[in-house]
Formats: sequence, structure tokens, C-alpha cells
Amino acid sequence: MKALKYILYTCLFFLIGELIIRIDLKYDLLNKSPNKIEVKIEESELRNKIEQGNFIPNSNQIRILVIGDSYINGGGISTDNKFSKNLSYLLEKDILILDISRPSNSTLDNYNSFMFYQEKFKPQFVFWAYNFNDILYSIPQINPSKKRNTVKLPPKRVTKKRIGLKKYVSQLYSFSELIRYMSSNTQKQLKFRGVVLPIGEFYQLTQKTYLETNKNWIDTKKKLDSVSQICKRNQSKFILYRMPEFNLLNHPQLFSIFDKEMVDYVDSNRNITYFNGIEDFNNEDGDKFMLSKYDGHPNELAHMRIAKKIAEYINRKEAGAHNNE
Amino acid sequence: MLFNSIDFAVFLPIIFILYWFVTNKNLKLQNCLIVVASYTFYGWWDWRFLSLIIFSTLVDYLIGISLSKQENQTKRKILLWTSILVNLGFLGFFKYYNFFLDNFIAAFSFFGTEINANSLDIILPVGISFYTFQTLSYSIDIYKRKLEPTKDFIAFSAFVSFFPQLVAGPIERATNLLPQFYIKRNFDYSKTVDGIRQILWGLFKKMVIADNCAQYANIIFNNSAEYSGSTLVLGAIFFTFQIYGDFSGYSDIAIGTSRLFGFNLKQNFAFPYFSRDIAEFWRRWHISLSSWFRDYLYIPLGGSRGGTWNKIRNVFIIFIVSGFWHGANWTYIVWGALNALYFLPIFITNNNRNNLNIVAQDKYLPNVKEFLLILLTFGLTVFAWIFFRAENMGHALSYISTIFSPSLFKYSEIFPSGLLLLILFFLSIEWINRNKKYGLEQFSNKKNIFLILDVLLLFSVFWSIVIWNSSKEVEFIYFQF
Repeated sequence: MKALKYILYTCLFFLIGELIIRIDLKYDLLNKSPNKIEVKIEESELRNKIEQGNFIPNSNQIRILVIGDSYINGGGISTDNKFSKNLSYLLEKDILILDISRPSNSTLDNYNSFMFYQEKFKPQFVFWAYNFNDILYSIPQINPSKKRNTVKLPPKRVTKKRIGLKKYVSQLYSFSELIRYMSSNTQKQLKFRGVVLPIGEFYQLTQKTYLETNKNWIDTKKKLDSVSQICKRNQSKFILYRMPEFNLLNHPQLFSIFDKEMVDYVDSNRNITYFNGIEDFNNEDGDKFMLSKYDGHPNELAHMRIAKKIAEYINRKEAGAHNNE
Repeated sequence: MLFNSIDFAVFLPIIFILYWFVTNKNLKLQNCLIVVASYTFYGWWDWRFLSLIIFSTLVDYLIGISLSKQENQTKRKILLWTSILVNLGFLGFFKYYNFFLDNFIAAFSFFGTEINANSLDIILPVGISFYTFQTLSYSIDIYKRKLEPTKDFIAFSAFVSFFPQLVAGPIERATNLLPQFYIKRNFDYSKTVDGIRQILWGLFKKMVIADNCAQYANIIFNNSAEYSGSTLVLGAIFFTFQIYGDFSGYSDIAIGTSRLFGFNLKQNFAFPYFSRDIAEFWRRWHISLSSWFRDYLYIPLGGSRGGTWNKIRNVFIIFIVSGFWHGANWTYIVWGALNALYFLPIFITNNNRNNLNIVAQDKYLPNVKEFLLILLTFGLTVFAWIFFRAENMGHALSYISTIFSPSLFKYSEIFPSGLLLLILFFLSIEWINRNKKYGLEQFSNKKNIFLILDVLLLFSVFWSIVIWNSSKEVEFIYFQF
């Protein structure tokens, strides 16, 4: 009787949780959605001009092309505080910045944008903010549905109980909003504390994707090689900036495989000027630079810090070029 | 360490297990564990400030022993004043130095004399106002021969630094808390369950009510010039629930945690927003501080004895000091003075003890008169909180002037109906349990419909915390006081 009571209480406990999460999902009682990072794509007169073929480069102007995703585009912060605006204030010369970064851009999108705009805009500097998840232009399938071999293999012996349990768990997961919510929140909490469970996209990206043998990473390197070659041919500088995850600044170890691969790659390509963004925020309190605990977007302060770094580099390069003349 | 943090969620079970399963045979060891746990808890913010607590503990421990041995009244007075000066000296330096300096400079500048003095970049040690008052009451009580000093230094250290109530109260009197460290505590299952329930309710108040209200209150107060009067009223109401949820939530967690370790702390909030007049409100709001000021300031000043002017003076002093205790800003002083103004009419007309019982006792709902009185008292409180929340006096006055403008009748730009529904749910629970010590106290032990309702409520509160928390570890407001 006592056992039955506990079973009933346990069921009731989870049922109430399920009910509350479903109410929340349906009615969004506390307006949590607006807290998500807002991204807006701004109209640009310059970009329209270039797209319509009406742009004539001015030889006295320094032209900078900014490429990347929402991180450098300034998702969640005001236009005046984003990277490209800060950069334009900080540079000493007559400059023209074309910011073609767009939220959710992948490496392939960035590459295509570069190919389209570089011809018409003729930048002297190409700034590419690379995010570790940009590689996802073809999402690695955790359970790829491969075509079956034509050769019939003997069926594996799997006990009935295991199939039943697995099926039950997967059915429960697909039915229960509560379990999905708890699982995703637990992972977020753990990740914020530097612990990554061996499941999910983040684990896949940081541990399994940046490997020498990975096709996506090989393709990405080819695209970056191509960009650097074009830049070299055009006598422009290619700056590759490794964008940090700003809510995980205090856990650089999570990205050790990615960082090692990036460094190995840029060491082999002398036409790339590489900046590891993590180094710009070393020994700093991560809270100061993130928009939210559960999101890696940089805030205003981080945008300013990156802009300062890049402006300093461009000013130095320009001063050097001027002296050589 | 914050009560609403993962750190504390790990810390508490570890200490609980060590306390009841490792050190339970030896009282001294248990007290030692409390001291170590409390210093760890406090040092989590900034270990440097531990030196302040340790110094304060040492001073009051030695003064306490000396006071009991000393018969010479002059020497006893010197000892008492040493304790007062040391404790208030720390408090004054860390909390009020810059305030006095800035006002001093402003006053001289007003008369045409410019003074060059730099403000210091002082960090306020968390909870200094709370433990200072707790240790002060110990010395004063020994001086008044109401309390025998302790010779057990560990027990005294545990009393001063007891981690559940160290940083934001309740401010416990030595007469209540200290003796509990001398007697063996035995594990009590029902006490533990009750403690957990009170912690849960405190977390609900803090993480669901206060932190979600804070998001709107901050937006509205920080951009008050951009909103209409009706939105500003809503902002003030959100802050009213924020401060209540925040502070009484902390008290509930503190009292509940203490119960887990076998200690009984006094109730600090008794459903103050159901008060029918300001006197009742102050009997129900931050009870430990109000009674501290009553016993150690108001009564020594003469209390309600003497002429009308003496009474008025004493009321103003106690309310203004109470405001100033909250922070070094004129807004807190005005908040205190405003409450004195609310209180005086009913005090002078001897109506301040009209509502000693619980509102609508043995009834489900209040009658119309009671309801209107509750509404009026709540409105006055909301108005006073505007000063408490405003950045400065200019901000408070412009906020109020916008409220009393035609824009008061405009449709509010911000209207989070979901949050208002949650507040309503919260108030309903508090109303039902208003005769208990906290909102989530068990309805009934009997196996009836109430038991099922109780279980449903408990589970709902638990999942509300998990799902509707504001996703940030927000510090408790009262830590800054």
C-alpha cells in the first residue's frame, strides 16, 4: 500500500511538471521569448549600391569587408554599439566599411558573400569573424539514415527487453515536454560550468568535427585557402578572427581541439593574419562580456574590445604602408 | 554564496550530512562545523571580509566576559561604548563614509567654500548591517544584565556567523539564538520536512516572484521618463512585490535552513501586505529589525512616554534611523520619514494597536471595510517604495510627478499578464495561510481533501521554481544593506 502511494505521488509529481511546462510553452506566461537574442538585418545604402553595380571605389579610401554571423553582426545589441560602427569610429583614416555579416551565416554563406562582394567592393582588408559553429553548413548527422547495403547481413541478436526499454525511453522523450526541457536546461547549466555531456550538437562540434579527417573541416579549410589566395592576388589583407563563445570565456578547455586545429591550419597558411579572440579576454570575468548566461553572443563591451584590436592592427598596417611609400 | 545558486545547492547537503551523520555525537564538533561552514559561506563572496567578522566576534566575546565581571558602573559603560564604537565604527566607515563626505563637501560648497576631499572606493561587506546589530544586542543585553555572557568561544562564533541568517537576517537576539548552541540538537524528521517546505517557499518568492518582478521594475524605473503614469504605477507595484519576495524569501530560506540544523529562528515577515494600517504593517514587516530598533533605540529614548512632542520626536528618530540603516542615500531617509508621517496620525490618536489580530480571522474573505483598509495601506506602501527604489531624490520626484499627470489614464505600455497571474496565485496562497508562519506551511495533517491539495500545491510550487525562475542568479536586495 505504501509503495503504491509513493508510485502515485511520483506520477503526480511528474504530471504536474508536465502540465506546467505545457502551459508555459503554450501561453509563454513570463514572456521569456523576448529574452532570446534578437537579430535584425539592416538595410545598407552601400550594399545596395554595390549590388546594383553603381559603386566606384575611391583610391584614397580604405575599404574593409566584414564577414561573419550574428556574433559580429551584433545580435541583441544596438546598431551604434556593434563592431563595424565601433571600427569606423576608431580608424584614423578615411574609411569605408561594408558589413555583410548576417545572422546564421555558415562558412559556405560567408564564402559566397565574399566572392560576390570582393569583386565589386575591392577591399584592402577582409575581416572574417569565424565562429566554431560556422562549420555546420551540412549538419553532421548523429544517426545518419544510410542506404542499406544490398548484401544481406545476418540479424544481430538483441534481447527483446533492450529494444523495449530503448523504445520506451525514446517514446517518453518524444512525448514529454518536461523531459526535453529538463534535459536541455541541465546541459546548458553544465556547459556554463564547463561540463559537456557526450551528447548533443555542442559536443559533436567541439569534440568530433574539428578533426583532420572530417570532411566539413577539410572543406572549410579549402574555402579559407581560396579566400586567402584571392586576397593575396588583390593585395589585400585577410584577417581571420576566432570568435569566442562569450558565455564560456572562462572555459577555454572546451574548445581545445578546435583551437589546436585552427592554429595548425593558420600556421600552414602565411597569407592569413590570425587573431584568437579568446586571448583578447584572457583573465577577465566572462560575465562582463556576455549578453546572457545561456548564449554566447558578445555584448557592447566585447564588440568595442574586438573593434579596438582590429583598428589598432589596421592603423598600424596603414601607417607602415604609408612609411614605405 | 547565494541561496539561489548551484553552489549552495551542493554546499547545503554536504553540511547537512556532516552535521547529522558525522559530528552528531559531539555538540562542540557540531558547533565547530557550523563556524567552518559559516566562514566558508561568507568567504565565498570575498574572504578578506572574514577578518571583520572574526574581529567583531573577538571584541564582543571579550567585552561580554569583562562586562559580567566588572561591577564598577563607569568601567562597564566604557566597555559597552567600546563595543558600540567598534561595531558602529566598521559599519559607519564601510557604509556611510562616502555619504557623509559628499554631503559635507556639498554643504560647504553651498556656503561658497570649496573643499577638496576624495571619496574612497569602498566595497560594502555583505551583510555588515545584520551581524553588527546582532553582536551589538549581545553586548547591550549583558550590560543591562538581561543575559549571561558565554565562555564558549566556539558557540559564540557560531552565533555571530550562523550562515543561514548571516548576510540578510533575521537579526537574532542572543537571548533566543545563543542558548540553542548550548543544547544537544536531535534530528527531527518533521522539523526537517517543515524546513524544506519553508526553503521551497522562500525560493519561490525569490526566484519566481521577486526576480521576475525585478525585470519589469528595473526596465520601468531605469527608463521612467519614457513611460506613461499608468506604467509607472505598475513599475512601483512590481517593485513592491520584488522587495517583499526578495527579502521575505531570504528570511524563509534562512529560517527553513536553520530548522534543518535543529534551530528555531523568529518569524521575520507575517504577511505584511494584508495589513489594515501602517502600524500593523510595521508589526509584520522585517519584524527582527523593527523590534531591535524598538528595544535598543525607541525605548531608551523614552518610547511613548512623555509629552506629544517627545512621542513625535521618537517616532521620527526611529523611522529615519531605520531608513538610514538601509543605505547611505537621502532616498532611504525620505522613505523612513514618509513612513513616520503615515504612522503618526494613528499613533497620536492611540489607534496604533487596533489591528493586532489576523485580518478576517476564521473567515475566507475580508469584509468590504477590511478590504478597503488593506488596499489603502498597500497603496501608501507602494508610494513609499518609490523613494526606496529611486536612484536619487530627483528621480523619485520626477517619477511621482509623471504618475500624477494625465498619462496616468493612458493604457500601460507594459502589461505582463502572466506575471500578474503568478502574483495573484502567490497572494492567494499567502492569504489562505495567513494565520501560519509561512505561506507553504502544511494545510492539515489529516488524511482528507486538504492533504491532496497540499501535495498538489507543493508539487506546483516546486515545478514553478524550476520552470518560471528568471534564469539568473540574482543577488538578494538586502545584501547591500
